[in-house]
Amino acid sequence: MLTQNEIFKELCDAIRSFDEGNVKKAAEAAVEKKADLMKAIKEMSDTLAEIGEQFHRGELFLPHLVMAGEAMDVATKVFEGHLSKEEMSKSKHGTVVIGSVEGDLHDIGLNIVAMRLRTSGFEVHNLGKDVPVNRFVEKAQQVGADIIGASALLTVTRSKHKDLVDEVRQRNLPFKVMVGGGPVTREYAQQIGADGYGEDAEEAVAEAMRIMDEKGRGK
Amino acid sequence: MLSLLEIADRSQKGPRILEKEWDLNLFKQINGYIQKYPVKYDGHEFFNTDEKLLDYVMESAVDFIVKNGVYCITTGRCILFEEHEVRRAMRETPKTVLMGEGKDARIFKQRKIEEDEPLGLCPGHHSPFSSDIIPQAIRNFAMIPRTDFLEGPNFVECGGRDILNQPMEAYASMRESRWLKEGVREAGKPGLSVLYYPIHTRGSTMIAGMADLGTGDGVLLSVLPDVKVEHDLLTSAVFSEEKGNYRVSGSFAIAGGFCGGPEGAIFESVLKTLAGILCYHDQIHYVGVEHQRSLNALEIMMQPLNWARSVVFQTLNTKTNAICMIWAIPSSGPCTEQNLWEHAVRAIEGVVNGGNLYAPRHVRTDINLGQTPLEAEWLVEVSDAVIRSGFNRREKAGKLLERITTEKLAGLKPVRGKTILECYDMARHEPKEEYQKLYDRVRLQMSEMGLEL
Repeated sequence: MLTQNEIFKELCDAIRSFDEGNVKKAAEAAVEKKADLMKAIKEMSDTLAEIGEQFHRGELFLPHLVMAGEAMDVATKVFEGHLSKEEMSKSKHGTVVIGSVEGDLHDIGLNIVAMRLRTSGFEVHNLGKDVPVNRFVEKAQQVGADIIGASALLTVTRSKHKDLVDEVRQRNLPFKVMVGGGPVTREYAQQIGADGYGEDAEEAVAEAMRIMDEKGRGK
Repeated sequence: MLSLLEIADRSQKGPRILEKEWDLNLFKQINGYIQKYPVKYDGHEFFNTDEKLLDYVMESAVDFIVKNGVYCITTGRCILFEEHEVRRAMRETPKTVLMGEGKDARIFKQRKIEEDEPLGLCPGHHSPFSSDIIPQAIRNFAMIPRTDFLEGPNFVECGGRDILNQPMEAYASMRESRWLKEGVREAGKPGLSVLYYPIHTRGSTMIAGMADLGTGDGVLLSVLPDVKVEHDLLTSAVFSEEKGNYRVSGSFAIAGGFCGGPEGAIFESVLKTLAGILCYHDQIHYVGVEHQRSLNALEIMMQPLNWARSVVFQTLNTKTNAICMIWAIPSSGPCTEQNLWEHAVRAIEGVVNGGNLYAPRHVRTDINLGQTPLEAEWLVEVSDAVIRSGFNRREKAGKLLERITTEKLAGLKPVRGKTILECYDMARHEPKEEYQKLYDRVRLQMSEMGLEL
């Protein structure tokens, strides 16, 4: 009979190998053993963060981030019925709805940011490409998002960032808006009144953490 | 070659697959091809010398297309092909494109590895300008003597209004084409070919921009990352083909994305080229391998990307008729030594790998901060010198790249650079003093390495 720590090690090893079958087995074993599931989630999050760092160093690539995230999702689904809503939400830094703005079909950068946020402990809802403002807002309302992240790679589509910021402000919605993408600069983000800006994936994660930290302090 | 309407039809009828499944399948398949050979950078070569690798990469790309097709994001279906259809397309895509009119007509063609003839050139734009200086900028780029065709700029406001919606996009697209035509006339080259750059990829916007193009002009219709196509661009392909326009695709791949690392990006770039030929009838392709870290201006990246690019070019130039261009996309902006050295690297690669020169912009552009004519002229100057000085052979060119890497680029970080207005005098078509001095310094250093500039 495996100990709690041994089960957690198997769980994390399975995530590192992107092995959803073994992730499910280990997650079920953790539930059966009445293990500390919050600790399990923390250890899985640390494993995901480690994989995120490997990506940042160029040792792993976007598909690895996706597969690791999906593997962890398998375990989280097993744990869902055994943890309260409050416990589940404590296990995340925050909830992000992210996508490329309307008219923009580029998504490599977006996918990288989405996965880096995911591996850094955020719940991420990736809407993909060509997302109109109302869809960002609807999804954010549906999932109770903290942050809406919008990417643009074409200079002409970055104007949709302002549309999104304006919509959120005019309707007094409770979301923070972060922007990014090739033609987007910090000055531009400030000019349009965005709450945050990430020049690259790592900065986007740091910025999202800062926003959540300020939110926690009631700013 | 299959007709574009047949492609449209197959995009409606092919097997459905979720986009996420396609993405992960792409990675798994490419990873399988990499492991099987195995395809691996040997740690030394700047230019590939393994001829068998080229056969393997090409056959693997055909194998992928035949087994999986090309993904249409509009319908969520795979466009499938028989093997003979793929091979026919590889043979039937033309090796030359006649572009422009009258005295300004040019033949743009596929290049040989270790080329002995001067390369073709598209010097810009593909980068954002404020609309008040666009006509002058176009004239300046058109004035570059070796220009074969000129791509349009992009911009965010026009006629005093932001380009926010479809009517404005259509208006802006028409302005772009008319500014291009006017600019080349002002440069004394009324028949010079222009390439429409999409203000927006919406079909209506594309068609508005193409409406005024002549039969010697072209349109940028790029295959999307991860070997994907979509209906607005296919619509534009149908329209442009009847107008007689040639089509250009950005068929490069980004290491770090769903293709995996540089080795995986080799396969994706070849796949995207095939997809462009099959699905849009693209005739000219800017190909190669970039990295998401350099495209985000996080670092200046050399090996193994140089080697990976050489495999892509060699494969396409020896196994297909595709007309390839090198994509000079430095991680630093104009008026920086990093930018000039990175352009020099791409010019050398262009000659040895068989790639015409394409000088759109640097990675993180902003309004008026993308390019000046000097970078394109420098590309031409270096590439001509490479041929003249006998550096157009893999081993010798490799040693030159090694020196540039270790002596000039090592330890340098990407920097933003200056706007065209800050460093270039468009009234006189010459760099301003600071940029002239920088260029003179880098040019001297380049010639001290043995190039007869």
